Amino acid sequence: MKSPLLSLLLCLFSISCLSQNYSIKGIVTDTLDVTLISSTVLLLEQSDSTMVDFTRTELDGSFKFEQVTPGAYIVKTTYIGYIPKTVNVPAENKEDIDVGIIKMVELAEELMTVVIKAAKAPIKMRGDTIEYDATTFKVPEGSTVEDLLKRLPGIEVESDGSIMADGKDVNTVTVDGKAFFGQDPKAATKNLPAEGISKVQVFDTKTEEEEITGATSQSKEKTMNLELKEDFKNGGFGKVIAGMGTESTKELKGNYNRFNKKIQFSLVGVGNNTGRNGLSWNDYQDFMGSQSFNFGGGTDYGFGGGGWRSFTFGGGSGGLESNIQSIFFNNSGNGGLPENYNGGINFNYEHNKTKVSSVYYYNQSGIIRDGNSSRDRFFQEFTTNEEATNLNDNLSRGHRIELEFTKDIDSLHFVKLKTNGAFINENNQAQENTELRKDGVLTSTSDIKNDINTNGYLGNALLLLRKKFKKKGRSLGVNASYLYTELEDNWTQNSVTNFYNNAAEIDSTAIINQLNTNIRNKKQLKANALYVEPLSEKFFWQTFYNFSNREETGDREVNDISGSERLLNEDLSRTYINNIDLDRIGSSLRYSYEGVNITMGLGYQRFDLKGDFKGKGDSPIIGKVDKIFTNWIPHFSLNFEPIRNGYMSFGYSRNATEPSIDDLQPIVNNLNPQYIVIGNPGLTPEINNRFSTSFNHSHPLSGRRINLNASIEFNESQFSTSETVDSFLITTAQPINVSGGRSWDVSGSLNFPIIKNRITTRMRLNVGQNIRPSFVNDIKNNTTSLSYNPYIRVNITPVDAIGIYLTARSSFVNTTYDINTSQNQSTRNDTYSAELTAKTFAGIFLNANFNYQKFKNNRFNVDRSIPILNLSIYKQILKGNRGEIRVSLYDAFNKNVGFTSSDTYRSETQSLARYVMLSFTYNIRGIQSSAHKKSWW
Amino acid sequence: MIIYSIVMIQKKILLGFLIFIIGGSLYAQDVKGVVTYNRKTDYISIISKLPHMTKEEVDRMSLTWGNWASEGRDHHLFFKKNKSLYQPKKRENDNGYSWKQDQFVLIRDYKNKEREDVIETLGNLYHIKGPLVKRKWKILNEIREIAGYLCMKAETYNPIKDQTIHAWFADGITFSGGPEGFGGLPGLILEIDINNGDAVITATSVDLDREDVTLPIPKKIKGKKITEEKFDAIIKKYVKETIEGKKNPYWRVRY
Repeated sequence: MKSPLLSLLLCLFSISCLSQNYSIKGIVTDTLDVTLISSTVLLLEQSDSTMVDFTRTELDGSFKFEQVTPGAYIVKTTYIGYIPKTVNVPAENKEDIDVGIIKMVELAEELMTVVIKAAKAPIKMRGDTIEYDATTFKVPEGSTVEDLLKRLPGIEVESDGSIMADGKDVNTVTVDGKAFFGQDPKAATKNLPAEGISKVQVFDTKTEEEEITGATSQSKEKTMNLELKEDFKNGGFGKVIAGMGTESTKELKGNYNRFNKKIQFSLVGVGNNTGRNGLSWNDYQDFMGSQSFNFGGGTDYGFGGGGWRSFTFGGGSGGLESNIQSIFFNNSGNGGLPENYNGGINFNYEHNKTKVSSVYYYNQSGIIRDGNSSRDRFFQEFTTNEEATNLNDNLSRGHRIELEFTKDIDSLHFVKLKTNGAFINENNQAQENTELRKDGVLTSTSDIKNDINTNGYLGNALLLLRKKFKKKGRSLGVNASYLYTELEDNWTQNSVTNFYNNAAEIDSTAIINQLNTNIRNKKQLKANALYVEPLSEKFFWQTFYNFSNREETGDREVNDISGSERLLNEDLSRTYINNIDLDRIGSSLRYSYEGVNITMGLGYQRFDLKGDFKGKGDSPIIGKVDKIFTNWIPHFSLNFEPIRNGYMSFGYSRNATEPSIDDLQPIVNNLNPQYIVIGNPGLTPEINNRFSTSFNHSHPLSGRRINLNASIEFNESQFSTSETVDSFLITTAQPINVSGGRSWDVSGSLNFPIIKNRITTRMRLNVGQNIRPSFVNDIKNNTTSLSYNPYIRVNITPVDAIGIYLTARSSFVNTTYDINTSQNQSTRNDTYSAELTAKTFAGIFLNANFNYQKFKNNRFNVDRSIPILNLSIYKQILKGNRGEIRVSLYDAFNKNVGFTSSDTYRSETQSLARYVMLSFTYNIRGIQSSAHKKSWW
Repeated sequence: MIIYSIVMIQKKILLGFLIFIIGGSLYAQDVKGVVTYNRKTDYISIISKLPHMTKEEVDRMSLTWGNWASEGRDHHLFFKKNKSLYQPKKRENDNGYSWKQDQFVLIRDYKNKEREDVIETLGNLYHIKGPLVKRKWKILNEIREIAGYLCMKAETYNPIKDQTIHAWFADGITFSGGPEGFGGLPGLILEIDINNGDAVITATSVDLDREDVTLPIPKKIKGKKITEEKFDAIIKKYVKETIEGKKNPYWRVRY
């Protein structure tokens, strides 16, 4: 029944092909001459295996390609469970071709089950060679090739180490096609580690005659070739930069890394007395490796998607521990003569969803600052001016160690344990001479010497667990942490203050000669939980809870020194113990779908503040705080994509910050006799409301990007001070709550290319106003500052060898005062910079960097310009461009100085100015300089 | 056991073939089904090949991100009566924040040799409609199993993005389509490997037993109407310019 139909079909096909083109036909069978029905038959060009046509065999195993244009072809047949077979069809045939019977050989069962099915390894056929990927066969670490071969299908390893493949002896083993240690095949298999092998190939050993004639026969022996893995992820790299220059300048920086798939190990060290070329972000990334971006994890949960937006409480940045942490992020800032040394060691281990990382880091920074400053204050009836000269010598040292362990237990559970510890020592010696004037008339001079020595340490441990549930979108996160910090200051204070009468004669003198020991301690336990429940595909309900308890104790002992005697100063010596509890619970409903996210939430928080304050020894409690503050905190956020690649957001949040216990204590702090602070037990939390909106859009085809942001903040209740200044200009200050403070800020930026990849520009404008109320001599004063900050940058990269980067930025600030409008003023600070990098002849690079800063203040007649020009010339040397030699001239005009200027304060600090430096870099990975700067996005 | 099951599959196909032949045409490919593919992109490898990257930057990047494993993105291929539709699986809103997904739908009609694509990229929505251009495939000598099917290897080249593409096709499934718009081979493509692992699209499940398959063709197709040549020219220009600008074009353009 079937064959007549087939014949009919064949006939129909035959009729249609009566052109010059011809047909190719054949029959596919297995080795037992059984026809293989519907096996795939491909017609390929002989030259490069390009597929011309394909078909399938009929019920009788036959196939036919019609309308074949003349050429040299390969007919390739494939059938499940069989080794594909090819037959060459030479070009000279002009008539219909019958390639005859193509006999296909069954794929060895072992190869099929073990290699293809179990190991999921592709097998490759190259004529008589069958090759498979050895890396897919798992062997224990440290195994030899012999151990690996024992696992491979079709291969047997005898007890003496001789190898059989498909029942035939393997007489030759080659490695990467080359004979390995002569003719003994066991030498390679017994000695090479299995980890180094990527492929195992077995083929029939050809006799010399067969090699020449290409003839094949049933060989009795086999050859095995082992292909070695390329060293992909193993490596090491390192870099060292050393420089020496005039003015005794020195710079040294080096790093070294070793890594493989599981382990990353690195060392870094930096030393310089220039404040330049310290640890850059790239150096940090080389040092931290896979841990470079591992920041989060320990925060308190809050509103927002996945609990990302969070609260910080109890001095995440401003607490006692920040005194210790800041040592490691010491920025020499504005001016001064620095001397810095730091370095560390990092070890990361990552395997099977387990990560361990450990870091040790040492940091030492020294800076000498020699300068002068001027501060003005305005009162209703008078103004004051304080001129000071200062000399400050600061040296800090810190050791830090971090250990972290994370594990994905399974796809639903994640655990993280993080501990860190730090130890610091800081010494600060300061000398200051001040002259205080009231309406231009000298009222007092001070001569102050302070020597503070600080020792501190901290220990912190965090445990975090995250759980996802089988139900998509349901998740739970809990974390708990404990922090212990202690800081001890030993402070010698010597000051002589002379007060002058109207006749410019010394009226009285105040002398302070004190030894001050201050021990502060903080223990904080935090626990947080977050739970997200999906209500539907689009709605989520999120609940969080934050708990914190912190205990802070302080012990300050002040001794007056007269001669060799020390006398406890009971007025200034204090001990305190504070206990602050926070409970915060919040819940929010979120709509999240197709790029629209809306969150509405409400939280409730309760602060419980308890503090006992007393003098030294058996002194009774002189101050007591026991306050509970509760606040509701609403939250709203909306973001969506109104147009393609354009994102818009709106947000409202309300924040409540608790007052510090120091400010609540009803006691007088006269540690600084010129500035006496009195606590205010009536202080309530600071509460502000913030509304914000943003829009950004990018247009990838033109490279245009636009960003707009606006925010406004209303302070319902804001911390401020009420100051009373007496005729001797001694200020008595008390913390208070004020209302009416507010600020707004609008900014926009635009990036676009003027000529694509050649000239691009970025401009930004920021306008903001800030109104700060405060009380001076019981009169409310609003200080209003309105600022404009325009910025423009143009990058010019006309050819690969030239890069020019121009920047201009200005800051205009108009400050107005309610009570003393004659003091209204405007300041203007401008910065212009131009940088040129050029690749010149003979691989020599030139870099010129000019920076021009201008400070202006109409009220104080400030008009100051600081032009800084840095020039360098460099060239890559050595094989593989591993070396670079560079000559740099810093501050060609010898004008460098640290200068700051604001509405009430100006300071100037001596800095390292002109010097010439010769430096040499050696980088194992080679150096590839470019005249263009890179940006990632 | 495994061999046995393959024999079973063979028998199924055989049976299927008998039906085709009785149905009248050997070339009738009335095989239908839904295939789920997982697409993984190896950005480290892609960025490493960009001409502006130095050895130091490549090492830094591999050190930082080398152990970071992406889950990839699931895609579906629906096929029936010589027609197929390929699109990403709708992303499940897992962490409670939703991003708008770029539209990406590829429709292929192998019988009428037509293509219709809806692709949202580079800030535009493009509607590409036109004839299906035959690709030049080379057939290689390798076989491998994917999702229970024995596959053969084929190779082609994409001049727009300078990519060597390897396809693994199952000649046991007589549908000439595949993922990412690739097709024209004697069987269904179960894996596409772009530039030796830079992007790999592998079938994770093959469902041929469905009672019925409907291609979820969008009712209203919006977007700028554009020919394949013009669309390719836009992509080619963007890739070229972005590389010239020493940036990675493949954050924005599908690799």
